[in-house]
Amino acid sequence: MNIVEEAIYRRAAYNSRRHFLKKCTSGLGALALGTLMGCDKGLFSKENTMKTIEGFVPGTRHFAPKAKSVIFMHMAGGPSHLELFDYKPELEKLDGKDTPRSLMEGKNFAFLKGTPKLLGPQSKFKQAGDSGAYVSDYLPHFSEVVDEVSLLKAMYTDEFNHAPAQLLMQTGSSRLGKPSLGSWTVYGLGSENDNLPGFVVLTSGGGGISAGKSAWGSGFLPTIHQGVQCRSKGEPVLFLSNPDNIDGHLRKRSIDIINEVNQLEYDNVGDPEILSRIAQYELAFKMQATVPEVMDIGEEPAYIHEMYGTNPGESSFANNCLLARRLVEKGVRFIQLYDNRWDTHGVGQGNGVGEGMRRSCQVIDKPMTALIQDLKQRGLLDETLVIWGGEFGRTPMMEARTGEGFDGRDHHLEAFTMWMAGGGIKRGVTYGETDEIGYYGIKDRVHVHDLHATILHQLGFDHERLTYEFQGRNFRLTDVHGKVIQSILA
Amino acid sequence: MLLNISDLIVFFGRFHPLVVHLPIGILFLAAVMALLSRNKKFSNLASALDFVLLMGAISAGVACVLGWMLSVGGDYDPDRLFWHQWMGILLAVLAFGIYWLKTRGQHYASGVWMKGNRYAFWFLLILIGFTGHLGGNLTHGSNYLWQYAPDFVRTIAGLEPKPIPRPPVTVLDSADIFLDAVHPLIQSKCQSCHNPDKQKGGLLLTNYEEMIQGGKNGSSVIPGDLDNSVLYQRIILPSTHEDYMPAEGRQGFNDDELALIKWWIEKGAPSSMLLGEMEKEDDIHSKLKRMFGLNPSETRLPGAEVAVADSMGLKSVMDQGFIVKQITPDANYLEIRLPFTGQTLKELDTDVLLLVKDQITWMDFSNGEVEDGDLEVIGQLKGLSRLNLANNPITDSGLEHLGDLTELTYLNLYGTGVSDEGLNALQSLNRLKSLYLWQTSVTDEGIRAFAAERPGVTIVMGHSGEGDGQEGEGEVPQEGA
Repeated sequence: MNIVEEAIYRRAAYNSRRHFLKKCTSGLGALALGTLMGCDKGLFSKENTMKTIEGFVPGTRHFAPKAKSVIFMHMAGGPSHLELFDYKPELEKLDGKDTPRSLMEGKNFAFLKGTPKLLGPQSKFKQAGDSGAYVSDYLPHFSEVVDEVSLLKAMYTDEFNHAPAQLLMQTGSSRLGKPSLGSWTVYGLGSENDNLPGFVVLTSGGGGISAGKSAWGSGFLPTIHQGVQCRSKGEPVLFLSNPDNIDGHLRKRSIDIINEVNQLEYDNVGDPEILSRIAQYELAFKMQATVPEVMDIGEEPAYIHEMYGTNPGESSFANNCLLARRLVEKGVRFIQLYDNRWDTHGVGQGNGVGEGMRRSCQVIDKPMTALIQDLKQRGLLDETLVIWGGEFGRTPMMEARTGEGFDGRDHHLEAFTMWMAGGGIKRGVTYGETDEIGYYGIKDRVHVHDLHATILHQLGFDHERLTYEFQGRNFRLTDVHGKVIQSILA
Repeated sequence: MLLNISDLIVFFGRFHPLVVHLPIGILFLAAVMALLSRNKKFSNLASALDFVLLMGAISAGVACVLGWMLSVGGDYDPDRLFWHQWMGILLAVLAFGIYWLKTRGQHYASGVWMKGNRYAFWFLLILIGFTGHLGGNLTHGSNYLWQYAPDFVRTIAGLEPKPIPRPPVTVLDSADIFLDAVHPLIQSKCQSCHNPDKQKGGLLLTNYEEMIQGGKNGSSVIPGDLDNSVLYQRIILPSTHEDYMPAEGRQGFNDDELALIKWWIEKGAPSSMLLGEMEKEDDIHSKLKRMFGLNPSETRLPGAEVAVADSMGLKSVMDQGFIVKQITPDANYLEIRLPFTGQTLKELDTDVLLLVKDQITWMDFSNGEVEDGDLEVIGQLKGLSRLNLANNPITDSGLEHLGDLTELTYLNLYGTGVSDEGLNALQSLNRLKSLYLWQTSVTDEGIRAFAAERPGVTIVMGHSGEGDGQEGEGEVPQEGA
């Protein structure tokens, strides 16, 4: 017996049958206790699957909704409220002055250090519409529809970095793993059109957003509720069309067989995700016909292209806006637009809130204005909730990481502006107010959770009652927070 | 960290309400055993009596000490505490006394004791009852016990009959600002701490006079003076603020409720006044309506209620391919739209809709090849409040069928063949609020004529179109009230 064999032998001798049984008792006891105490909500318990998949009745709202669909335009990066909606003449006077210490102490910033200088607004403001709300000259088109929207000027959030702030804005939690707003919506409402996903995501501005695909993930909700990303250029949904030499008939047969196998597997182990998988295969097959049709904006008349500033075949925010309207017409519940160009740190020429941001605004101004007007003339704005905003605002202080002169502003969580329109929201209202330099909200502050509560309210849900049981407790989009902003509801 | 002695005392003191049930139970048992053991049948109980009595006496002593520790916290009204405290101490002393007499004292008082001991136990029982009741009053409030008693019991107890609840508000103007709006709010949010038994901050908030009178921090409500009305100033603080009310994490006032209280104080904080007699700004008017749930138009559903849809009828509608859904679980109204399969009304049987004609209230038949003939059927669906007929080949003659849809608030006719003449038929739609006429033959003149008759209706034209020359929208001002 060599030394290795001896080691194995000794080890085996030590781990006698007695040891085995002794060790198992505590484990078996724990298992039994778990079952006794009703913790049988595991992944593989059949009872649970019945409850989540079959027991759920789509379309059971809590009260009559004002909005049937939502279009959420998320300006990833955090657009500066100080250049767009929150006019601060006082900040203009303080341009170039040192920031008082009291504004910096105890605060977290992504990049600001020491004593930064204040930076006055880089755009010109003009009062617009009957409501007389101030709108920047960066957004000449939007000022025409400012009477359609409610401006939320004292939004605030908990996070000062992109990924957590985007997650908070989209999932109600700055950590990964929670279902997104769109997923909750589809979970609550069910899909109107069985041939299209209920939750569609469209991105523009290049690159992925910092929070990644988790921003439209379904978290612990059944994965059938996750957002489906569509592209406005090339194939709308990747890998949706048939591979070479495979025709529709063969494709259908193979999907049927795959689903049969999956059904067998489900009958064996009862994992609800298998049902989601089956549903997804079926939806994907139906989408082969419906998606290319709805995603083809070429059939829109010329005046519509003129209105939005769209170019078919391109990947752009304008195309996404037009697609959003088309998807609403097809009964899609939640359309999430991401435009990724708003992180204006001023680390180089054209990266700040001056010329750079003006150019960014040119990309979104016309299409988002057209979207509101187009929805309105079709009578859809009345039942479609349109939301616009970033994950946070920008500081009144200048960020000068790579030297001054590039008009940079750092991330700012204490105050930023968002707007909502349609879907039972008041028209031409400004809600909330910030201080003289747009640093803090001083009146009617609205937290991200409050925004979520309001969105769900307009869809016909009490945000405190739209829950999903996971790991032994009920979860909500708004966790334990959130207050519906009654003052902006028509 | 050092232990704070006074905190520690109160910490133990709070076990008093728990421990106090031991002497109640044990001494009660002792008394019952003593009284029963006189009977032959239960005479064997006598041997255990000493032990039970001692246990009861000790636990009564412990409860007294803990009770004293609880009173150190100062949360209790001293006058009301006095009798509970001394009766409790008397009870403990009595229990020890009886025990002593029963075990050691027999030499001194055997004769008298043997005759009189049952009276001692009866007295003990009565004392337990009274002391316990006074203690319960201290903890739960003196009206706790009788709150839900039937009126005849309340009369015996010397209380007034239960207050008659105010009838629910059905018309805004006949509601009372204080009695129906402010007072119920204060009752639900404040009274659990500011009542005669707790009086946190020396403040009572059970009726109007007490609100005006205020507490330790001065007057809580000063009519017309928001800045000095402490009640208002403290409920508007951020909920994390130390002085925020309601305290202890209770649910605070929402925006509507805050606005109401603000308005009430600004209007001179009347103790009773009908809302009809008060001047209401639009904003507060809508808030009040929302609070009383008097906003049927806001729900986008018709005011009246309907019966459950006939299930066979509903099934026939669904079998046709229509997408039908119940709008909310608590009303039987249905929304209906065409299937997304590309099927239009031409291929579907419209008459089945009449099987659920009372229940259908939202209808989206846009892009559905709806023709004038179909409107004859749709016109019979009297419950319709939202009707979308956009992009359909319908004309003025079809619109004439819609004249009876008096619940209609939203009518979408964009992309149809209607013209000025057709609008005449819509003038009888009393509740109509928005009318969509982009890409129709309706002219500015037609809109003006319609708006003159129906100024409350918002008419939406288009922002873009093929040479219809209509930039902007032919919108008329929002309705006044």
